[in-house]
Amino acid sequence: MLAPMKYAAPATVEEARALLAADGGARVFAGATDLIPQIRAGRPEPSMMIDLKRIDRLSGIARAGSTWTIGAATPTADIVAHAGFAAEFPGLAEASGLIGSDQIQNRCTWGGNLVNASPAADTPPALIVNDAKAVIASAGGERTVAAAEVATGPGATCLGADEIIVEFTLASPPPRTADAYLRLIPRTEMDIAVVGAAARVTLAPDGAVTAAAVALGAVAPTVVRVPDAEAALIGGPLTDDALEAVAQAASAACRPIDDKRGTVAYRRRVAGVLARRAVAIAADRAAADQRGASS
Amino acid sequence: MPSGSILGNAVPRLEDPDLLTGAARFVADLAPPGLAHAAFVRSTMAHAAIAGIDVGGAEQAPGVIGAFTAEGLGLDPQPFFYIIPPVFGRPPLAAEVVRFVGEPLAVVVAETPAQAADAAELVEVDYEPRPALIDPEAALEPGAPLLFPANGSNLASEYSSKAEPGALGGHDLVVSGRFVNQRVAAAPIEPTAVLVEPGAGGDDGGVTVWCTSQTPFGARDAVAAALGLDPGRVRAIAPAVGGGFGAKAAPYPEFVVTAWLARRLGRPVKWVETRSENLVNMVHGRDYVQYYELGLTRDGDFRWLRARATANVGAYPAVGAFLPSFTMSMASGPYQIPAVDFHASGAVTTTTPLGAFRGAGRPEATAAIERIVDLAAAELDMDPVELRRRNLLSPDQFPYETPTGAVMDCGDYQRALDQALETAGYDDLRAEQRRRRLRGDPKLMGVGVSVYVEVTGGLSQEYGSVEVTADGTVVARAGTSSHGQGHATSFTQLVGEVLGVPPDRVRVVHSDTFEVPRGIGTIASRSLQIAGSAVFKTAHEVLERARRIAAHRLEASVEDIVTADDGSGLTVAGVPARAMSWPELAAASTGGDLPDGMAPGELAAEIDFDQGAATYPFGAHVAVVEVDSETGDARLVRHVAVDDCGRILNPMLVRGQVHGGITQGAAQALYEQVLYDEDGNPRTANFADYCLPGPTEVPAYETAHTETPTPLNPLGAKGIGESGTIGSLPAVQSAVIDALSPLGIRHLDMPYTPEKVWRAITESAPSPA
Repeated sequence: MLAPMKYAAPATVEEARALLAADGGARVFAGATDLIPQIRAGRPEPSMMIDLKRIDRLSGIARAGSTWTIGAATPTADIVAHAGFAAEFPGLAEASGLIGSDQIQNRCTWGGNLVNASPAADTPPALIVNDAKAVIASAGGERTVAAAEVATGPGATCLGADEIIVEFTLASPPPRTADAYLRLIPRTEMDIAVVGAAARVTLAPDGAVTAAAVALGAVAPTVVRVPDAEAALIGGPLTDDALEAVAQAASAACRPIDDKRGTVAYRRRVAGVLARRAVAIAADRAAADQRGASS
Repeated sequence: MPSGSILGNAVPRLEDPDLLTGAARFVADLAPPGLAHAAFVRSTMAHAAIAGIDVGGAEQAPGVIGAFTAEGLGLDPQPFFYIIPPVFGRPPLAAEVVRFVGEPLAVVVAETPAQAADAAELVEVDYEPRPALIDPEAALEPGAPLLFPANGSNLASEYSSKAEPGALGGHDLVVSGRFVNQRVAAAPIEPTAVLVEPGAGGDDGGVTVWCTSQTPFGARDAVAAALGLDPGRVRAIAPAVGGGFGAKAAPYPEFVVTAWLARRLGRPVKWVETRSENLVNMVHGRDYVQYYELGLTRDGDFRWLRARATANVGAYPAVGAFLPSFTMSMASGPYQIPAVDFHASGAVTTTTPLGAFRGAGRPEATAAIERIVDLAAAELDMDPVELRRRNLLSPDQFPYETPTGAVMDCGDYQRALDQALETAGYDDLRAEQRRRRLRGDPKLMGVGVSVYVEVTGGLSQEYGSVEVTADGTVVARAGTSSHGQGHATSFTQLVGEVLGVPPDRVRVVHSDTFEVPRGIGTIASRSLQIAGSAVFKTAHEVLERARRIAAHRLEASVEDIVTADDGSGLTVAGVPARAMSWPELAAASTGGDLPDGMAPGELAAEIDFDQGAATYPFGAHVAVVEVDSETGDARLVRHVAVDDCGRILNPMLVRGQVHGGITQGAAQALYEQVLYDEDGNPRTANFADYCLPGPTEVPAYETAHTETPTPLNPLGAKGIGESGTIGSLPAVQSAVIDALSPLGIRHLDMPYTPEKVWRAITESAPSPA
C-alpha cells in the first residue's frame, strides 16, 4: 500500500524550502488548481503537499515608490479587484481575470501559472511584456530572474529542486503606456487558450510609438517575444501598415504544434490577428492615459 | 381556462427549496449502513477479443470485497431496448469481445470508493485487437469487419417509406446536399449512479434499486429480467435526478451488475459514474449522415423529397437504432411535400451506443429539411422566409397525414413564423445586414430562420391517480418520473385547480415502483400531456364523488356543492357554514351513509389515460450570429423562439424548458462534438476537450408562444421539453451559413468551431461583388 500523502503548511519561506529540500517527492502549491487535476489525471502523487498560502510574504499587493510587489501566492481574484494595480496594468489584470472561473481565480496565482509552465498559460505573456521579475528563494539567499526566463519548456522551469518563487516585482509603467491581453478560445470562459497575445505600448505626446513589447502564448513551447513586431512599431505612428507588420511578424514568430485545440496554420494566423488587436488596444489605452498629461 | 384559475400562472417550483438548500437527495448522496462501493474496469480497446482477465491483483488490494468478470456473474446477454434482435444482445459485462472504449468488463467492490477505484486499476486484461470501425457508412460497405458476425452484416435497423413509382417528378430543379448531424453527449450534470440494497419492502429476496432514471419501471423490469426475479420483487426508485435529456431513459448494464453484487454480497452496493466515464459510457445522441434531394419548381413549390440517412447506432444497438423511425415520420417537416421517399439504415460501429437525446430523431429530421430548404432558397435566390411561407401547411389541413405516415393533430405554422419574425424585427435585421456588408464590416452578420414541427407523447398511455387521505392530504400519483422538469409543481397545480386545495395539502408521488402501481416514465415530452391529463381527470372524478357525498350529507343539490374558498373542503354555494372538510369527506366516502347507488370506498380515482395518438408541437426560431472573419469565431448574439406547446399550464416551467432546449440546440450547432480517433479512442472524454457551453456563451433569449391546443387531451397540452433543441439548431446553423454566404459558402457541417469556420473563409473564393 502506498504511503498516504502528507500535507504541510509552513509559516515561513525558509521552513517551506527546508521541507522541499528534505523530501525529493514533495511539491509546493499555492492554488493547486493545476496540481490537483494533474494528480487526478494520473500524474504521480507527491509524497508531501506544501501549502504556501500560509506564508505572509507570499500573499499581498503593495506599491513602494514606483515598484509594485505582488506575492507569488496572491489569488488572481485579488489582483483583478485591485483598482490601483489594474489602472496601471489593465492587460495583466485582464489576463489574470481570464483564468478558469471565479472559483478558480479565488485560488490560482501568478506563481503557479508561471511554474506550471503550460505553453497556453494566460498570465505569462502579460507578465513578460511588462518586464516582470520573479524573486526566487534559494539555498544561497534570493535571486531575481525575469519572468520570461522562468519557463524553459512545457512543464519545465529554471527553478532548482528546493527553490520557490516568493514574489514578483513590476515597475510602474511610464506615462502614456498601457498593456492589453487577448486570447482565443472556443468558449467565452473556462477554457484553455488556442492562442494568447499580450502587448504593451508607450506613446510620445505626438502619437509616435516610443516603446513596444509583444508576446504570444500557446504557439511555442514557451512564451514567444516578437522583436520584429516591436521594431516595426517603434519610432513611428500606429498606422495600419505598422499594425499589419505586427501581424505578419507575430505569425512568423510562432512555432506552434498541431493539437486538438488548433492546427499550426490556424494558430499562426490567429497569433497575427490577436497580436495586431492587442497592440491596437494597448495603444488606445496609452493614448488615453492621463498620468503623464501634465509633463 | 376558467377565470381565477391557477393554471397558466408562473407558480414557483415546489422542488426548488430542497434543491437549493442541498436537502434533496441524489443517488450519490445515499449511504445506508454497510455500504460497499463498486468500480468498473472498462475496455481500453475499441474492438478486441478478450483473451483473459486477471482480477487476482485486485482481489488482494486493501479493502476489496470482491472482483468479478462476466464469468463470475453468469448473467445472460440482454437487449437494452425492447425492439433489438437477440443477435445484438449485450452482456452486462463484456464476456468474449469488447466493442467500444469504455465498455465495462469487470467490476471491483470495496469498502470505500477510492479503494474500489485503486483496485480496479490492478485488473489485467489480455486483449486480442480487432479492427476499429468508427464511420457508419464504412460499416455498411461490403467487406467491413463485422461486430456481430452472426448478424452477417453491421446493419442493425432499417426504416423505409417509398414514394409511388413516378411520384418524384414535376420539378424544374433539384437541390441536393450531404449533411452530417454530428455525435453529441447528453452530459447531464449528474452522471449515472445506482445503489442497490438487498430486500424490498420486507421481501428479503427482493432488491431495492435507487437509480438515475427517467423510467423507474423500465429499470425495474431490466433488473428483474436479468436476475430472474418477478418484477414485483424489485423496487426501483429514482430520487432527485440531475437531468437526463433522454440519456437516462433506458437502463444501464451497471444497474443489473450492481443489483447482482448486492444480492451476492448481501450488502448495499453503490456505483457513481465519473465525468470521464460518463462521456464514454452514457449513450450519445445524433450521429447521422444524411443525403437529401428536394425537387421543386422555379416558383419555389416543393414537389418531392428524397432522403437517405445512415445512423450510427454504436456498439450495441439500443434506442438509437429505433430513432430513424422518428426521423422518417418527420421527414417533410412543416411543409406540404406531395411525395417523400425515405430510407434510413442503422449501423453498428465500435463506439459508445447511441440513445435518446433531447429531440431523439426529430432534430435530425428538422435540421436536414431546413438545410435543404435553405439550399433551395439560395439556388432560387429567394428569401428563405418567402420560400418557407409558400410551402408551409395551413391550419385548415389538419389533421394532416404526412407522406411518411405521421398524423398531425393541429398546427398554425404561419402564425408562429409571423410572430417570430415580428419579434426579431426580421426586415430590420436584413437591412442592417445589407449595411454592414456594404461597409465591409469584418464582423460577418448572419440571420437564420427555422420552422419546425415535432412529435411528442407517442407512447400515449400513462397511469395517474388522485386520493384524498384520512387527514385531508391529497395524494397524486403518476407513472412518469421527474428529473428536473418540475412535475411536483405542475401536478400540484392541476390538483389545486380541480379540488381547490393549497399546494401544501398536496403530495405528488412518483418515481417509486412500490408507491405507484405502473407507468412508462418521462420520455418524448409526454409527462404533462399524458400523466398530467391522468391526474387532472382523476381529480375531477374525485371531486364528483365528493360533491355527491357532500350534497347527500348537507341535504343540498349536487349542482350547489362547490370547493371552499379556503381549500378546506366542499361547501354549499353561498352558505360557507354548510360545509364538509376533506377529512370528513374522506371518512364519509368509506362509511355507510352514502347517496343511492354509491358503493363505499376510498375517496380516490385512478386511470390509465390514453390520448390515443401523438401530438405535434411546432414553432419558429430566428437566430442572429456574428462571425469574426479573421478568426472564424462565431457567436450567437440573438435568439428568438416562438414555440407552440398548446395550452400552457405554468409559463415559468415552459420558459425553463425552452431556454435549456435552445441552448442544447445552439450548442450542437456551435460547440459540441464527440470525437474518436481512427483507432476508436475517445478524444472528448472530459469537459476540457468536450466543449459544453455555459450561460456566458449564449445571449438572453427572446421567447414567446402561440397556443394551439391539441384536441387529444383535456389540458390541450403538447410537449415542450424538446422543442427548443429541435427549433434552435437549424436557425443557428442557417445563421452561420448566412453570415458566410457572401463568400459563396452554401453549406458547412457542424459544429462551427472557430478553426472550421476560419478554414472555410480562407478556402472560399472571394465574392465577385
